[in-house]
Amino acid sequence: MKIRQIVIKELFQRRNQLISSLIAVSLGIAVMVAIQSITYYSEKAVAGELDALGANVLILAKDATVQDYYSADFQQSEIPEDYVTILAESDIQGIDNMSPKFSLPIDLNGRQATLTGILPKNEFKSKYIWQGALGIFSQPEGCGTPVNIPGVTYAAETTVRRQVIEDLSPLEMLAGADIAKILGIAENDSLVVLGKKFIIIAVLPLTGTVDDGRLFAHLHTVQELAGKSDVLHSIEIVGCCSAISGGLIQKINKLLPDAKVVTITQIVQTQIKTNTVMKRISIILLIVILLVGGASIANYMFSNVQERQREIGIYLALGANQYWIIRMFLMKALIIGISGGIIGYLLGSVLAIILGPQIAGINVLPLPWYAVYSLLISVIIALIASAIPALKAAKVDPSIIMKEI
Amino acid sequence: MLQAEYITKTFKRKHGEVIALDQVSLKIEKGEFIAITGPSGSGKSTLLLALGGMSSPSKGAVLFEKNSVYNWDVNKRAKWRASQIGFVFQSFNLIPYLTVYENVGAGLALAGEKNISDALIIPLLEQMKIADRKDHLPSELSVGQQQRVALARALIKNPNIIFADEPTGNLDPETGKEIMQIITKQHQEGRTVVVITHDPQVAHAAGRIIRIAEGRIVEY
Ligand SMILES: Nc1ncnc2c1ncn2[C@@H]1O[C@H](COP(=O)(O)OP(=O)(O)OP(=O)(O)O)[C@@H](O)[C@H]1O
Ligand SMILES: [Mg+2]
Repeated sequence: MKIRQIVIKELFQRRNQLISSLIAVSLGIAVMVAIQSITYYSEKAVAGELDALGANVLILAKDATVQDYYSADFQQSEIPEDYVTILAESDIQGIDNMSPKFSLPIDLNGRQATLTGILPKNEFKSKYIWQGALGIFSQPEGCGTPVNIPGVTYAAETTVRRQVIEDLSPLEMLAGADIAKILGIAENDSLVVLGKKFIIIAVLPLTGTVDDGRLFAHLHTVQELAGKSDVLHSIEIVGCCSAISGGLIQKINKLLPDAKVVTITQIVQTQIKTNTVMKRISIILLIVILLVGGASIANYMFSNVQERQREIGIYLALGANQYWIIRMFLMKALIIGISGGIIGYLLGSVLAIILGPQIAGINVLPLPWYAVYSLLISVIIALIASAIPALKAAKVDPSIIMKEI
Repeated sequence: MLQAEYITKTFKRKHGEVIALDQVSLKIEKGEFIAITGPSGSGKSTLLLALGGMSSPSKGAVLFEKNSVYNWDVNKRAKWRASQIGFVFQSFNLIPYLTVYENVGAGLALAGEKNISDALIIPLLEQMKIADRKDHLPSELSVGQQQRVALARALIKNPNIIFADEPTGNLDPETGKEIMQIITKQHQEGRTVVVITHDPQVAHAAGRIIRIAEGRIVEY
């Protein structure tokens, strides 16, 4: 008869009284695990979105909004193409990639679409002495968090997005995946836009961004079609993360005082805000769990000690000392804590898997290391809540054993 | 070899103090069989608890082979109790959620035995005629069987002293006799036995009868 066996026997024989406090702890842990798991994957989704967006800094006209950038509805919000030269020739460090764009709303047989002008790499080379990598699709390298969202694979498009368009002659065109599908066009087809006949040299793979719905042609061709010259709507910049936090935005602002410089982070701010709220809720929950779960266990333990006074006296008479009695109750607390942690973790993970897609629109997988946190929190709560009852047990007056039942 | 020296035990109550033991002195020699009698509330159980190292007297000392038991730390006192003393009670005091076998095993484990084996426990259960009930819970046994389990649990560690507080108080005369026979046998095997009893016949079996009234020994 080891002390552990005695504790387990007692637990099983009187399991009914235990259930409510075990439920309290398990539920608390479960809710927390669920919230944390969903938040975790939702944060990953945000990171993934950031990654998919590519550029992390946008240069727009002062009166343009990020929404305008998305809808390519710039109207008169233009910036001079000279900005590219200014940036390229400046001594600003941390610009990894830069892509100037000019967008034109077009009508394709009654269908609204956007034609975006881009600069191929060779244009940069001939024009500027800029050493950075150039391309139409900017993709952060080395600063985007490696993203792994269940059910979503970024691998293919990421590689494509890294591809820099080397060359683009005035009448060549690239089509986003969605628009190509809608228009029923494929590689080597031709498409007449605003009276000009373009050859589709490539259909871009699906990216999940606004690029999917756009047509791309040479910047200067698009400017010409719009009857403009030397103006842009936006410059997408991939800045190195450390440079961004190191004041890249302010430096660009100084260099281009008439432009609006925004980080993509602002675009996904709402989502980040949701996550912050979730985090706060889970902290509040943690406190509630500590209180409710702890109180429930403490209450159970106090009444358990109360009802086992005679038993404590018997163990003392058999040769146990006070430390043994304390150990017996703490071991019981440990078992409750471990069970609560395990049940809570499993329940919480299941909740997160079921609710994740419904609440946050993301797939959630169980996070194994949360099992460790759950166990730790649950065990610590159980032990703290049982400390005073266990000490009380050690002080039970053993003379109760001489009393008749 | 076990000795009470002027022990006084007072309990604090809402309305003043209760003096359960009042300067009791008593010498118990090795191998003695003593019966303690006296009216209810006279302090018999309190004396037994004090002698057994379970409850520290307010004044005076309990000496075991000239060592003051309550001057030891709780650990040493618990070990001494575990190895030297077997308690038997009127209400059996079996652990309700442990089987017969486990109750006896717990007695052995708390006495420091690491290897609890059938070889140690079963023969004693057979001797007590409860081997066939070894996997039963106390609630599934008759009162006589329960007291046999309690005896087995007290005897499993082969204690030198047996303290029994009205061991036959809850039993019918026939069963009580059987239990007293087992206890008497322990005395015959050389153990020191102290039995609290209201039963003159039980007291008669003892070598010495001590009478207590109002916390004092009134008659040897
Ligand atoms: N734990 C305790 N707290 C307060 N008073 C106690 C306690 N234990 C015993 N007493 C009191 O001490 C006195 C002696 O009690 P004790 O149990 O020793 O008597 P007893 O001789 O064993 O009686 P009985 O024959 O009824 O068992 C009684 O007045 C009792 O109420
Ligand atoms: Mg009594």
